[in-house]
Amino acid sequence: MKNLYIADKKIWEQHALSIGESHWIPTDDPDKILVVCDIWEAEGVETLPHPFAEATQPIADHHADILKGLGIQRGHTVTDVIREAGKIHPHFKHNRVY
Amino acid sequence: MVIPSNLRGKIPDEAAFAIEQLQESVKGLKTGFNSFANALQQAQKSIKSQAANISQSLSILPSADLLSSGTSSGVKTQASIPPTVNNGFAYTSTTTSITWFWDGTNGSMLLQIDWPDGSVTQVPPASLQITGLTPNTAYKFYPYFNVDLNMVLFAQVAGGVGTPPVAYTAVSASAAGIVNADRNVAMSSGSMAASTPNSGTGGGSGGGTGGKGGLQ
Repeated sequence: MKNLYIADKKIWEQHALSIGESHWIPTDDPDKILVVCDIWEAEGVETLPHPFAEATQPIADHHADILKGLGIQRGHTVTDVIREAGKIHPHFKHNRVY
Repeated sequence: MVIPSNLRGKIPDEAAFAIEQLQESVKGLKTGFNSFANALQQAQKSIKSQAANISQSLSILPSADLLSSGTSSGVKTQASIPPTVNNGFAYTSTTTSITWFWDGTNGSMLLQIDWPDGSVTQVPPASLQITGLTPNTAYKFYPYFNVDLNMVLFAQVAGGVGTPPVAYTAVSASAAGIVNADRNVAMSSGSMAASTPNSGTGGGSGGGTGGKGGLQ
């Protein structure tokens, strides 16, 4: 089970060692990336709703805004993000996240 | 002790007594010296015997040596405590290529091997680009450190794709075998995963065996 996060790419580079396996794709914000990995708690790292426990909860508007390039709109859930990101990067597909 | 006949009656009794005492002392010294010589001889024999044992032991040691970088034998890592790899790799990807870094850039860290005796090997920093890959595909990689070459290599066996052909679309037991073979140190717990995106770019991290979490 993995979580999705949005963070500055520079923050990810600083923490990649402690995260272990992780995968990212760029967002519409050139400084920020969408990351899938195990638990990642650090300053500046924003966690998207939990894929199971918060599957029906909409993601934050400012997250939706920088994921427009993926096809995400305000009101979409993390399930929508996983579906759309999975079209871009195999490690975001639902069978690798859940 | 008897006073020599030619001196009898010609020297005082005190002088004769002193001569007697001197003769006794010389006799005692001679006995002590003989004992010392015997002990020395025994010690020499014992040292020779121990030296032979040490020599025999040293002739066996190289085959069990786990520590010397650049040397190895047929049983180097067998029946031994495996070393730990600290820090990890990071990758960037395009639709047709994946580049692994272990040079401190792109989220990677300089790698370090901690050996069971506490010694440390700093892995030379580098990167490897694999081209000719298929878009939107997840791959597995099997990196290892070769102690003879003092560098990181990626297992290359049948089934590998890309240029060089070190990317696998499924688990490769043969590649895993190479990673854990004699002279090699596995640089990750299992394989490292990376993907080519369907469009644009991507990246990620993985590797290391020092408590970095599970890898696929």
